Parts: sequence; C-alpha cells; structure tokens
Amino acid sequence: MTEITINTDVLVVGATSIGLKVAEEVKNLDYNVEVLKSPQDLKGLKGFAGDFTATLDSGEKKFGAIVTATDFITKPLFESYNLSPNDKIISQSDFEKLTESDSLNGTKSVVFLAGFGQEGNPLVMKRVFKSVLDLCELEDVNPYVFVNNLKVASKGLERLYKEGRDKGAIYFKLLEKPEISEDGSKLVYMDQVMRSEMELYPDLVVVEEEYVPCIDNTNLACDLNIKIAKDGLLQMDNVHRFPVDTARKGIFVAGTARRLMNEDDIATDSKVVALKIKEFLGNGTIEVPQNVAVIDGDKCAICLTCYRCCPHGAIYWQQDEAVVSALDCQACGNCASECPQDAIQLEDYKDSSINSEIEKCFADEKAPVVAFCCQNSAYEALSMASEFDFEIPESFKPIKVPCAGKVDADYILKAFSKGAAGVAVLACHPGNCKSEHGNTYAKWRVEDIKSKLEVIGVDKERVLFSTVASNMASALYGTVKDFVNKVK
Amino acid sequence: MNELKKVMVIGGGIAGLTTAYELSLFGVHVDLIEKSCFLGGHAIGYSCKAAEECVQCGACSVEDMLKKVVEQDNIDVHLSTEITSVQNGKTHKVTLSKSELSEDDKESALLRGFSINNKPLNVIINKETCGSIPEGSVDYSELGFEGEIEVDAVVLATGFSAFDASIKSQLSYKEFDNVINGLELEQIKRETGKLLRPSDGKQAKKIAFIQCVGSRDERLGNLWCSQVCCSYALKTARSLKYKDQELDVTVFYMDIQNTGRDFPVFYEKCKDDIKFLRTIPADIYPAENDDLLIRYMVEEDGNPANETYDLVALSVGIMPGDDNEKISKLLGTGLDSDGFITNGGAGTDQEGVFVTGTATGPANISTVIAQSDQAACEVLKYLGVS
Repeated sequence: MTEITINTDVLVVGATSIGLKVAEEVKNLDYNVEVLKSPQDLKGLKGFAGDFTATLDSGEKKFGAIVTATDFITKPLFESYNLSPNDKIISQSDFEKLTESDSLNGTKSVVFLAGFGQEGNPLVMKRVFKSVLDLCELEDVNPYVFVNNLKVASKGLERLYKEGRDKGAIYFKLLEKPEISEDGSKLVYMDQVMRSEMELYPDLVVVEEEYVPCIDNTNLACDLNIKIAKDGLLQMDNVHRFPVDTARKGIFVAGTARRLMNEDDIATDSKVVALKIKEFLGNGTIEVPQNVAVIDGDKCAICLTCYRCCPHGAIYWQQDEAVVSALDCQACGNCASECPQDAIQLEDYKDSSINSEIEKCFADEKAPVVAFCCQNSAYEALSMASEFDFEIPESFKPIKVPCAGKVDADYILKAFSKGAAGVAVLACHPGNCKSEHGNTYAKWRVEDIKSKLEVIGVDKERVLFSTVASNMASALYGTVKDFVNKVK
Repeated sequence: MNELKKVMVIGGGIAGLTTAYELSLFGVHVDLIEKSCFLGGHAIGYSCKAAEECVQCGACSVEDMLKKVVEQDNIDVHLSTEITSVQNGKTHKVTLSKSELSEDDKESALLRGFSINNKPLNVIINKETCGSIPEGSVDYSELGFEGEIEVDAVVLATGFSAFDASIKSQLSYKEFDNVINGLELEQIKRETGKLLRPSDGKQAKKIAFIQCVGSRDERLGNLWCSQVCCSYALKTARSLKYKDQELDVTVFYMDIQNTGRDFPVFYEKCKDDIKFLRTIPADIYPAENDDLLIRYMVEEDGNPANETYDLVALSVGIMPGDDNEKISKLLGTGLDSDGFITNGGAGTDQEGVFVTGTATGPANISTVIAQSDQAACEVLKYLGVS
C-alpha cells in the first residue's frame, strides 16, 4: 500500500445555521476551516479529494474536503389562495414579527391557513402551532386554523397541537381550502361537524409560507461536479450515501443543503459531517487504494467518454491521456465498459478474468444461463436465496460484477457465442445504484444487444435485464426461475 | 498513539450496528450486546418497497451495515445477552447475563435470522423437535455471555416496541387471522415476495391499511406521531400495486405525513394507485371466506359505510421499548414524559452514557443512521480519540 499526504483544510460553503455549526465541529477536530458566506463566493473548483483547489475572491486556495451548507428561503403563498397581502392578510413571518413586537392589540380573531397552498411539512406546522400558543397568551383572542393534512411527524408536535386546542384554538381540518374574500374580511367554509356552510369574519388572515431550496444550488452542483436532484437539493436521494455523502469523495452535503430539517436535525447533521470528515482526512496521510480503474495511455484517444460517464468525478486528463485519481475512484467499472477503445481495465475485474468466469459457466453445462449480478444487490440476494432454501436451478450461473454498469456488451455476446441458453444482467433498482447510473447504462446496453440479436436470428427474449434489492431473496428467486424456465 | 478505548453498545438493531461500526473505524473496541439471538433488530425484517424506482426506504442498507459489522475485527458481538447491573464511574462496569427467550420462541424448535450476514443464521432451541438441522446452526445453549465487562463509555441503542394492536379491541387483531400488523405484513412480503393471506395462503386482492394504530391517540395518552407509518403504508401499497395492477388498496387515515424528499410528487402518484379515506374505522367484523368487513364514517356526509376487504394491515405505532424503564434505572438515564430515553444531542443525564435511535423516540432508518453517526461523534469526543 502506498501512503500519500493530503491537505486537511476544510471549506464550508454557506455561512448558514448548518454551515456555522459544521465549522465549529470541524475546528474542534483541529482542522483549519474556511467558511464562505455565500455559494456565490466560490468562483470555481478543481482537483480531487484531499487536493481540491478552490477559486475564491482572495485567489486560489487548497482544501482537503468541501462541505456544502446552503439553506432554504421562505416565500409566502398568497397567490395560491388568490390573495394579495394587505393590513388584514399577512404572511406567517410577518405575523411572527407582530407577536414579537407585541403589536396585536385589538385583534380579536386570527385565521391561519396551512396545507392548501402546498402539501406542507412539520416546519410550517410547528410555526402555526407556536403562533397559536402565542395568541392564547393574549386575552380575548380567538385563533382559528384551517388546515389540510396536519403535519405532525416531528418530535413534540402532537403535544403542541393538543396544547393549542386545550387553550381554546379551533382547528378545521378540510380537504378543500375555504373561500376567502379579497380583502380578507370574510371566510366561507364547509364545517365538518355542522355539515353546513359557515362564515367567519376574522381581523387577521395569516398565510403559510413555502420553503424553497437555495437558488445557488444549481451552480454549486455544477462547480463541484455533483448531482442536483429534481427538488433542487444537493444530493441525489440514495440509500448508499445516507446521510451526508455525495457520489464524490471528500465532498459532503450538510443539513439544509440536502433536505428541509429542524434545528435539532441540523445539530445532528453537523456532528455527522464532522465524523465523516474525521474519517476521511484522519491525520492527513491516506492509503491509496489499489483496486481502481487504470487507463492504458497508448490506447486512450482522449475522447472524454470516461470523464463524462464517471459517476464519482474521478477522471481527469493531462497532456495527451486521461488519468484516474485513485483516491476518488470507487471501482465501479462504468468507465471501463463505456470506453470505446477498451483502454480501461479495473484491477479486480479485468476483461480477461471476467471472460474466464464466462468460460467456467460452461464447465458442467452445455447451455447455461449466464447471469451478471451486481455485487451490491443481485449477488447478495442470490447468496441469501441459496441460504434460505430457494432452489436456484443448476443451469443458472452467476458471475459477480462490481456494478451492472461493468457488464460489457462483449461479455453478453461472448456468452451467446459459447452457446448460452440465456444471459441475464441483474442490477439495482433505479435510484439505488451506488454509482448513480450504472444500472441505466446496463439497461441501455441490454436493449441495444436485443436489437442486434434479432438481426443475427437469436430470440431477443434470451436476454434479460432486471432489477432487484439486496435483501429480497424471494423476488430474485422468482425472476431467476421464470427466466430459466423460459429459455431452457 | 491513543490508548485502547472500549465502548459497549447495547442493542444490535440499525442504531447499534451503525454506532458500533463507526466507532470501530477509529480503533475503538466495541462490545455489542444483543438481547435476542440475532443482529439487525426490527429493520432487518423489512422488505424492499421499490415500485418503478427505489423509494429510499433504507431496508437494504440495514443488510449492508450488518455485513460491515460482522467483518470488523474490533467488534465483539454478544448475542442472547442482557445487562443486569451497571456501576457508573470514571469507567462503567457492566454485568451481563444470558437473556431469556420470549414465550413464543421457547415453543420453537429452530430460530432463523433474517439476514445471511447473521452468524449464526440458525439457532437450535429444541434438538428433538427440530428435524433436519441446517448446516452451520448453533445450539441456543452456546449463546449468551455471563460476566462483567469494563468500558469507557456506553451507548444505548435499545430501539422501540411495536404497539400491541390487541389493546384496541375494536380492530380485532389476533381475533381474525387476516388482520395483521405492519411488521407481519413486512415479513410475509420479505419471505414470499408476495402478499399472501395468513388464513389460507391466497394472494390478497383487496386490502386496507389503517393508520395511527396506537400513535396520536389521546385516549391512550400516546401524544406522538410515529413518523414512519405513512411512509411505510404508502410505499408498501405502491410497491404491491406495481407488481399487481389489479390490487385494490385503501388507506384509512387522520393526516398523511410526508414520506421523504419530494413528497408532493410521490403523493400524487399514490393518489392514482390508492383510495384514501380520511377516517379511522369504528369496527372490524368477520365476513365470508375469512374476509373482513370494515365499518366507518364517511367524512364528507357523516354517514356510516361498510366495505369488505380480504386483508387488513394495521400500521402500529412506535412505542417506547419494553425495557426502557429497566434500562434507564440501571444506567441512571432519564425518561421523557412519553417513556422514551431523554437525550440532548446523543448525550444523556449520565456522564459517559449516550443514546441513539428509536430508544429516544420515533425515527425512520435514515434518521437513525444520522443519529448514530452523531452518537459515535460524541463518544469519540468524550473519549478524546483523535
């Protein structure tokens, strides 16, 4: 094993609640920390885990790890209720300001609206519960809450809800939002107890707010070469990266950069990030993994396919060849299978060794079913199936691969040329691939091969692409049995 | 060089496994104590809930973590073991003894774990009634640790108890075979990949989920939302429906809680697949062919209605662990008003004793993993491991 020295300074992007907490935790671990006020202060990022170069206003600076720590912003949902703000119609934030400055004198009835302008969440709900309790402290004020689904899935919320009701707040749980006059002076709603239309004349209408992920997340994702999810958050939801890892080593997503959360969860996340940073940076020396992808410079045509398809951002190029950063490579082999020049080999899964595995499938079976099984799902499920007495047909020959994305079209064709009755590529479910899209690549390749097989007169049904979870032996067994029965 | 630090983690579910693994990465020696014969806790029995794509339920990650733990040299696992006394001080002297089997398990011949990563996978309780004995089985008499272990810190990861639905007699749990709880449904799904009725093994075609069984129940004094059951029911329903388009699913609920990121998008998909009724059923009666008749009030008009289902799944809530009181007494930690172990960011009232996971209150798998990383972080800080 070769040891190398890495940079141990940490860059936190975002001087938010989570950003500052992470900075404090990391400082306690004796690493140097720099906190950028806003994502916009990061002008660019190059390099790799343990050796990042960030472009800042002050110039270029080296870091070992990066933490994204952006926050949400709140936006009142007046439009969703067809309302515009005025003296009687205000946002939740404005109401909280009024309570803080004791400016609610003379207000007799207050209506809160939540869960009709958006689906809502416990954060929104908690603010309503708290405001209701604040109002209950005042004399002769009646709080009314119109709500769709009460979002109470957070510690203490059910109690807050009950406390408000016990103190006199009235909650209307409706499936449709009430009708509100333009000036906010009149509400018409369907009363669930009376079973009739009722009217209410409030002094004040308080409109819920939505939480919108930081708008800079998109650029930040681009700069850091990490994925941004459809919901605008900086991490694809992926069980393999619970809670704060990204697909790239040395880059972490903390707190509100990865999901909407309350202050307790933010505190938890700051410790989680600190632990993961400690795990990664250690004392600044790190062993270089040996089982990584290696590019043959003589064969490489610098077509950049590997650079584009690497889910872990581990490939760069220098002079006239592409190079793999060993610290970042997670040995999934997606690059090796995508490379049009066959210039990349994965140390533990060289083409030669997989080809000999394919040969072995024919040792005691003339027409076996050759199955390439991802080690993260299908292969696990298969071992479980045999251990739990599911009878896997003898003609079914599994070959372990690091990711379904490592299954070359050549492997499948080789199996058929040797006389395989069928070939299966068994991958993780969409959204569960440790390497982001290895399963998608595998699926595309199988589809491509199906069309080619038809041309040469092989029934395309002899190739199967299927997905399975590592803990579902029964599901895997069903898939295997059906396929073997079909092709044998 | 740090001197060797020792930590005891009590509870071998996802919380204990994660904490033990993280600590072991920093060279800490861990004694992992588990009361039952197997690691993995409740969550190892959960099934995958993917429909057209993974829904991040985290069930498979429990399997993953268990595998990592058993491969770590510096984690000693003590199965069928529980704590009997603790002497807190600068270190913690913990006396351990072999735990009792549950009444149900005592009747069994052979117990089997849910995960192949469990070593052993099979535990023989009664050799005479066992029949054929699977390879690699271990006799129950060989399990259990008796004696004292001295450690520098203790982490409680003792988990939750599922609500006993028979307390709500109107739901007829244990009275009719086809009224099952969520954990039982998970087990059927995990073992068979299908939804088979307990009464006759036939595939269920029309099922109902009843939410908030034991949770959010003022009458029982359970003033908390269990946080996982909407997620559980909706994701399970969709994954079943994905495999069987003919399946008819109804969810009886009070309020639907968010099930994860991008919930509005997921909820819209659910509305296409699932019938939602905002009401909690009043009664369940037996019907023909082991079916069940649910009587409920229609929210829109207040009128009573009846509907027959062939399987009813009760989304039972997360309750404080049965042992919480005993454990908090033994270790000198506090209990909150609901009966969960009080925590302030993984620390407890007792110095050197930490707590994580559902021992502190309801949480889903990903939250428990985060809490357990936090606990590991706090323990390392406390021990001064750098």
